[in-house]
Formats: sequence, C-alpha cells, structure tokens
Amino acid sequence: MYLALHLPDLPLRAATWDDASAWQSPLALSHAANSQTPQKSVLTCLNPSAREQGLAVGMNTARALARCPQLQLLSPHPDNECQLQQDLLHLARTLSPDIELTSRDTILLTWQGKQEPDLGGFEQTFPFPFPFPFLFSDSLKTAFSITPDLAHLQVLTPRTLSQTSLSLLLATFLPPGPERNDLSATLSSWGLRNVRDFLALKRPDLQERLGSAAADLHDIATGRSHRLLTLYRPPKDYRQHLDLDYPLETLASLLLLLRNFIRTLSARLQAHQRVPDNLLLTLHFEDHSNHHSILRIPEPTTNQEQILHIIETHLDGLTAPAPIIALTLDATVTLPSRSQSDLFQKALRDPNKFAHTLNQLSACLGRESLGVPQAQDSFRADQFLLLPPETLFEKKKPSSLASVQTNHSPSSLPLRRLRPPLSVQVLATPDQVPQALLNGPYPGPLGSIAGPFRLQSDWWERDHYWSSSEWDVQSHRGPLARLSHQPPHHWQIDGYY
Amino acid sequence: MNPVPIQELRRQLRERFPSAHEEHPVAEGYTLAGLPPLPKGTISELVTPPTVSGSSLLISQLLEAENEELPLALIDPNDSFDPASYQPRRPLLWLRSADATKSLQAADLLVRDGNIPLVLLDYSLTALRELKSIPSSSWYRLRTLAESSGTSLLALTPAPLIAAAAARYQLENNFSLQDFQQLRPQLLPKLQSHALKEVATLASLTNS
Repeated sequence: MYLALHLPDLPLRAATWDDASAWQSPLALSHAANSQTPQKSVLTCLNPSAREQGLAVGMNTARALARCPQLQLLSPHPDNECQLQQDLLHLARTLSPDIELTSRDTILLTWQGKQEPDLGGFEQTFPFPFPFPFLFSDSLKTAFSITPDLAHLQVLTPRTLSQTSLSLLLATFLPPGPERNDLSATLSSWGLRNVRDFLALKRPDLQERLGSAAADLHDIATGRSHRLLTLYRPPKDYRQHLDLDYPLETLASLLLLLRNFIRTLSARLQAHQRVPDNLLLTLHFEDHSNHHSILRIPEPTTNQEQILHIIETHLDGLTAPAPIIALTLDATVTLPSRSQSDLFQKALRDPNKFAHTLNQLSACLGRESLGVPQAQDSFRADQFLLLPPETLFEKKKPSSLASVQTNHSPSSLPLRRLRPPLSVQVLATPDQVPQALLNGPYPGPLGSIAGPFRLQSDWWERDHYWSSSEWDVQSHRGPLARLSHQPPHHWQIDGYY
Repeated sequence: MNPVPIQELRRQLRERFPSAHEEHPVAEGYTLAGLPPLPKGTISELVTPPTVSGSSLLISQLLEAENEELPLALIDPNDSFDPASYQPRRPLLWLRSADATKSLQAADLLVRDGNIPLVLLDYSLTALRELKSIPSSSWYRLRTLAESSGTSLLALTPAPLIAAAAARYQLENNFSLQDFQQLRPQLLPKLQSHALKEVATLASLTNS
C-alpha cells in the first residue's frame, strides 16, 4: 500500500512562517508584493480565505485587489520553503525508508500497515521536541491507496475519487503542453466532468480514438497502472552548521541543539546504509576562537543516544572561553560491521561504553595521564612512549611486535621507578663505589652492592650525549634499590625493586 | 544461671537461620605465583610493606601471561611503573594519576564499566597517611560495583587498610642481589605471602 503526504499551499505557509495568525485573512503570493508595478504581476498561490473571495491562481494582482481589497500580498520565501520541505521529508522518513519526492509539496511512500496511519497524535510519540509543529496545525493531508498514483490523486482532491474533476487528473499526470490541452478540450466537449464519467468509457476505445495518453490515464484512474516509486535519496553531505541568534551559555541548551543535529545525521546515514566512525565537532565562540574536536566512535553506530553520550562526555570536560555563537557537526562514515563475533575470540563487552569510560578518565585525570606505554629502544633511563588509549585494541602485526622490544633484556626484578629520581648524599670510595647512603628514606651502610653498570646513549651527538653508572644496592633495612651516579658528584635513587 | 558458651549460641543461630549463615563461595579467578587464586568480581588486597622487594613481580606475571587478550588496567598514583622493566604480552592501560583520591575515582570508573576484567591499583608507594584519609565507605561502594560488573580489583597497599576486601594477603619475601643472577621465571616460585583474610573458595567449601 502507498501513503501520500501533501502540504497544500506550501509556498504561502512558508511566507507566513512567523505569523500563523495571519492565515485567517485572505492571503496571496505574488512576485510583485514588494515591487512598484503590481499591475504586471499575477497571483501564484492563495489560501482558502482568498479562494472564498473568488480569487484564483493566475489572476492579475490589480484585478485581485479590486475584487478583494483586504487581500494581503506576500513575497515568496525560498529559505522557509526549503525548510518546510525538509521537515516534510523528515516526517516521511520516520514513517518509511522508501519515499518519493513527487512534487515540492507532495511525498509518496510505501506503507506496510493495513490502514492509514493516525498522524493526529503523532507528535506526542516523538522522544524529542517535535520539529514539525507547522505540519500538524490541521494542514497536512494524507491519502492511502493501492497504487502510488491513486494515492497521489486522492491526496490532492477534496472529494472522493469518482467525483474528482477530470481537469485535476489531467493536470496531475500529463505534462503541460498541446497534448494535454487537446485531450482536455476533447473530453470536455464530450461532456465529461469527473473521473467517474471518464471511467465509464471503455479503455480500448479510448486507446483507439484518443491515443495512449488517454489509455494511460484510464489505467491510473482504475488502479491498473502500478509504477515503482522514484526513491528519494538525501544528499551525501553530513555537515550541519547553525549560526545562533543568541549565544549559548549552558551545556543543556547546547546538547538540545546537538540532539537535533544527531537526529538528522542519523537519518541521513541510515538512508545511505552507513555508520559514522568519527564525529567532527566545531564550536565557534564569541571571542572568535574555535574548538575543533574529533570524537571517535569505537563501534560505529547510528544509535542517537550512544552518539549523544559520546559528545556529552566530551563536552563535560571542556571549558568554553566564551559563549557559543555557532556550531558545526560533521562525520566521517564507514560501512556497518556485519561480521559475526568469533566464538573463540575474547572481546570487549561494550566498546562504546568503554570509549565513554576512557573519555571520563581523560576528563578526570587529564588526557596526557593515560595511555598504552611502549618502551623505547634506548639505553637512556626512563624512555618510553605513551600511546593514546584508543590503540589498546589495535592488533599488532607480527613484525611490529619485535620492534617494540628494547635492545636490552629487563632485569630479573622489575623496577618501581621514582619520578623524579630521589637525589641522595652518598659516601663513596675514590673510585666512586658507593658505601653508604647519608640521607634519604633508608640511610645507613649499604648491605651489598652490584655494579657499576655503565650506560651511554646518543654518544654520536654531542648535545644529547648521556652517560650514567648504575648500581644495584641493598639499602639499610630497606628494599633493593637502583642507585645511579652521574659524574662528578651527583647520586640519585632511580627506584626500588 | 550458667552462662551459655558463645559456640553454643552460634550453633543455635546456625540451625535456626541456616540461610543467613550460608557461605557464598566466590568463583576462583586469577592465579598468581606466590598467592592463592584471586577471586573474580571483588576486591583483593595485597599488602606490600615498603621494605619488601618483589611486588612488581606480580605485575609482571599479569602482564607477561600467555594467552591473555583482554587488557589490564594499572592505576599508578605514584607514577612508578617502568615500561622498560616489562615485556608485556597483553595490552596495558596505564593511568598515571596525581593523588590517591583521583586514583580511586579512576578505579570506580573502570570497575563500573566492567569491560576490563582486572584492575590493578598500586598504592604500595603511597603515604599511609594519605590512604587512611579515604573513607571505608568508598571501598565498600567499590566492592558492590565490582560484584555487579564482575571486574576484579587488586589493590597493592603498604599496610592493611581495606576493610571491604574479600581477601587480604601480605607479601613477605625478601630478595637479595644474588637473585638478580636468575631469570625472572625462576624468581616467581620464591614469591611468598601469608593470608591475613582468606576468601571462601569452592574447593575449600567442598572439602569442609
């Protein structure tokens, strides 16, 4: 079954976007509303009040004003028209994935239900602020039929299908031109006024006497013609930008706007069978500074709540230097993962939740305080890299495993390093062999010592040359410690074993 | 009137309220040399006095274990972890926090998350005065979270202080410089500990 959605007088509604109360008085759309020569222009759209005054589309503006002095002439508002059309598309996409943008104000869609949907209370079912209030001010018309063309015809006519005027059938399904004019004149001359009269004629006779166009119209009116929908695909542009009239100062209001962004993004991605793997969020502040952030989605999804959760966690740890005057959201996309989890492969229970936890940890401890440590291939003490936590689940290639090993094997007992090292006074022999610690947490004679282990690094670069002598010592009534000596007199405890 | 011995009172209470005295066995979890198996989904405390060497051997066992794919989280308030001392075979998330309180917050987040099965909280070099300022209710809350998420938390402390720990062991080995001549796997059997508070295991309950 097919459902048709139609918003009558869309251009006029777009022009009265900000003033719904004006709809009660006669309104007309004319390109000459702001010009100095209204005599040369014609009316392009009317509201029901204007039609009741005897006005019609195509009427000269001056003549219309003479007939109805209280008529208000409005200029077209293309931006609002586009927005209204987008709202209509949004609504259609919530009903069905297969939609056809038949005309600027009419949408056809496939409908799985056996009866027409009740859109009256539809706005109450939305979990977020309903974005289409204008559509439901008794203006949106719907029709339900077995073929798309019949649904289209029914949504346009105020009467039943059989009483629909023949001119509407012709205007809807035949392009303007001599063929339509000739057919209209012929049928009119035969005394046919509505669809019922037309259907009383036999199709083979119509085909023979008036040609294939008339036969096609007959098929449409009887429901015999069942065409496929020309599916509407939203543009593959996921970037959304909003300039705000009033600067935002609270997180709650920012999240409300972002929720709408995410809803649109999610709908666009679903229409293309894609999922986002990175979100690019830009906040523009009043002091002309910007904040750019790339938010990775570990397990790409179009689930709006999960995406919003990731953004919310990121924003929790952000301090804005000034109120926000504009925001931009973009996304890089990927194909959804369709692989079945390996039965024997252990994996995280909920990668998105873990990513959320990592963001919280970053906010709690600082981004630079957590990561995946990787020892560097150097003899210099305490050299390592801290890779981002996102690399935790990157599968290492066999060759890269070897590359992370240092060029010396670690000692039997791992070191618990002191950062920074603890400088101590040491009683040493003239050969710089330590004998006793004179201060520090475990002062006293050293029980036993092993060393020196002489280390050098970057000896080929004069500025980076580094050398040290290390000793493993048994401290007095304390643990095993690593003592290092940098000539001539600096001693320090690097850590305890 | 003759006083009733306490054992008799306990026996009567056990008979009258058997379900209240039922011991809940904890599933055995991580096996480490020198320690009884650490239970899963709860808090274990390993007391490592500052004068004792070898607590880092426990970390190396966990990091260098074969056939482990899931990551390990190490919360390190003293920034004492030395990456060059280990050759990890499993992914490690290292959290270098500034103080004991932040570390506890990080542990709370990780245990609540439940994705990482084992979290190490290394307070072994933290001042005892700082640790005693942590309210015991924080540890009980952490234990409840661990039970609900199934994450195990192993806390290394300089002295016994976590009342909510399901098991508590004290490390008591003392390595010497001669032990440096041996390879790390040869040192593992030398790790010694004694139980300060033992968890009921399935095996012990079956035997009893």
